[in-house]
Amino acid sequence: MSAWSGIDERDDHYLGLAGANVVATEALLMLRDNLADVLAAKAMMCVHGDAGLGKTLSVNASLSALAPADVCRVQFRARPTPRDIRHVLFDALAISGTPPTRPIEFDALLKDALSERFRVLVCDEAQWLSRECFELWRHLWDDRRTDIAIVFVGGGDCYRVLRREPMLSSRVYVWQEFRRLDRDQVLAVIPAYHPVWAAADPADIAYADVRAGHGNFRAWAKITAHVVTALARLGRDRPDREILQWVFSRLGGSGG
Amino acid sequence: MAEVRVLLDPGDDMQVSVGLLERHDPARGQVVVHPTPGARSLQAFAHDVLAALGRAVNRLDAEQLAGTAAAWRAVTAWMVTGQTGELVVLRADRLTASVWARVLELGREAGTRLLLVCHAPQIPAQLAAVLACAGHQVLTGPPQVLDSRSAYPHPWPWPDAAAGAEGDAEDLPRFLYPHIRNYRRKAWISWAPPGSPGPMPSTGTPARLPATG
Repeated sequence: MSAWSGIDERDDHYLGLAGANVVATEALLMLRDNLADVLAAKAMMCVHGDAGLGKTLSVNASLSALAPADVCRVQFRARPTPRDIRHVLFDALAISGTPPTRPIEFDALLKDALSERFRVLVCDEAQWLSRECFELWRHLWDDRRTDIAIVFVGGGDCYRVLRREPMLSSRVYVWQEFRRLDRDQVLAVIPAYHPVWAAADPADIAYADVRAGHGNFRAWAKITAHVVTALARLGRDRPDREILQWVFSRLGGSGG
Repeated sequence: MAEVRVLLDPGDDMQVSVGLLERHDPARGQVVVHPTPGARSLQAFAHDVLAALGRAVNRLDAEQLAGTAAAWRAVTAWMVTGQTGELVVLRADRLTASVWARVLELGREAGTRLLLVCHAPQIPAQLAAVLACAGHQVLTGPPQVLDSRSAYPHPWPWPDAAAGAEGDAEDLPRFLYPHIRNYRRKAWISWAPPGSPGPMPSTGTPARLPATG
C-alpha cells in the first residue's frame, strides 16, 4: 500500500519511458470532462477497464490540470481492511500526531481533516476493496462536514465489484470504462505518444499493433522501449519491419 | 412505550442517508447516528451515539467513558437531558442484535422515538427477532417518512424536488459550510429519478491536451 501527494508525470508512464507523452485520446478527453463534472458536484466516480489502458495515467494527468493542489491519492495492492485505509489516509493527509486506536476517534480526525478544504480522494486498484472498506469511503463521503469527491480507479472486475454494492451504485455520479484503442485510434495516437513513432510508416504502426500492441498502452510502452534500444544500436532514425521483428522476438512473439 | 419505526431503503439511496443526516439537529431533539464502519460492539455504538449527541469522542479514556456500561449511562443521561425526541440510526442493518436490543431499551429509558434505517430489502432475520416483542412500524421508503410529518412535527421538512431550488434552499438548515449545503442541494436537484437517463455530459468545448510529438 502506498500514498503520495505529488508525482512526476514520467512516473505515471509504464516503465518510466523517457520521451513518452500524455496523448489526448478520446478516453482521456472524456475523462477530463467527466472529472470536471464530478469535482463540481463533489460526487463519486468509477474509472474501470483492463490493465494497461491508461486509466491511472489519465486520471493523474486530468487531475493535475483540474485540481493539482487538491488531490490525495491512495493505492492498495492487497486486500486492505478499513484500518489500513484509515492509516493510509492519515499519512496521505499529512495529519500530525499519533493515529488514534479507536475507529470512532480515527474517523473523527479524518473528517476534521477532510472538512478543512476541498479534496479529491483517488483510490486506485479499487477492485481489491471489501464491503467494509467501501462502507468507510461511503461513511466519509456521506458525512455532511466533509468536503470531498472520490474517484475509484480499478482494473479487472472493478466494475462488477462496485456495481454489486448498492451504496455505491446510488452514489457514483459517473462510470467510465476504458477500452482498447481501435486501429484508427492507434494510428492517430501512437505517433504523438513517443518521438520514435513520429515519422514511422503507418503500415508499420498497424503491423506492430496487430502483432503486439493490441491497442493497449502498456504493451505499446514495452514495444517503444525496445524500439528505442534498437534504433540506438543500429543508428537508425525510425522503426522498420526489421526492427519490429527484433522487438517481437524479445517480447516472446514469433518475430525471430 | 416509545414508538419504533424501521425504514427500509433497499437501494441504499444516497438521498435517504443524506436527507436524514441533513435533519440532524440535537438542539431541537433530532439526533441522527451514523455508525462507525467496522465497529460493531455495544461499546462502539454507544460512542457513536455520544458523538451524534455532540459529545467529544477524543477523550473517552480521560472522561472515563471508554467502558461499555459507563458509555451507555452517559448516552441515556445526555438523551434525557437533551430531550431527544427522535433517534435515527443509519446503517441499522449492519448492527448486531445486541445493539438493537440495547437501542430499544434506550428508547424506553429516554422516552425517545426510534427510526432504525435498514439499507436492505427487508429487516435481517436476527434483527427482526429482536423486534418481535416490540410494537413497530415498517416504512418502505422516504415518502412514508414524509407522510409522517403530520404525526411528528419534524424540525426540518424533507426536501421536496417539486418545490424547486429556491424553496429547497430556504428549507435547508443553515450550517457552517455553505459550499457543502450547495452540494447537497445540487445532489437533490440533479439526481435523476430511478429509470431515467443519467446526467447530461458537459456541453462545453473539451479542453484538449496538446498532442505533442
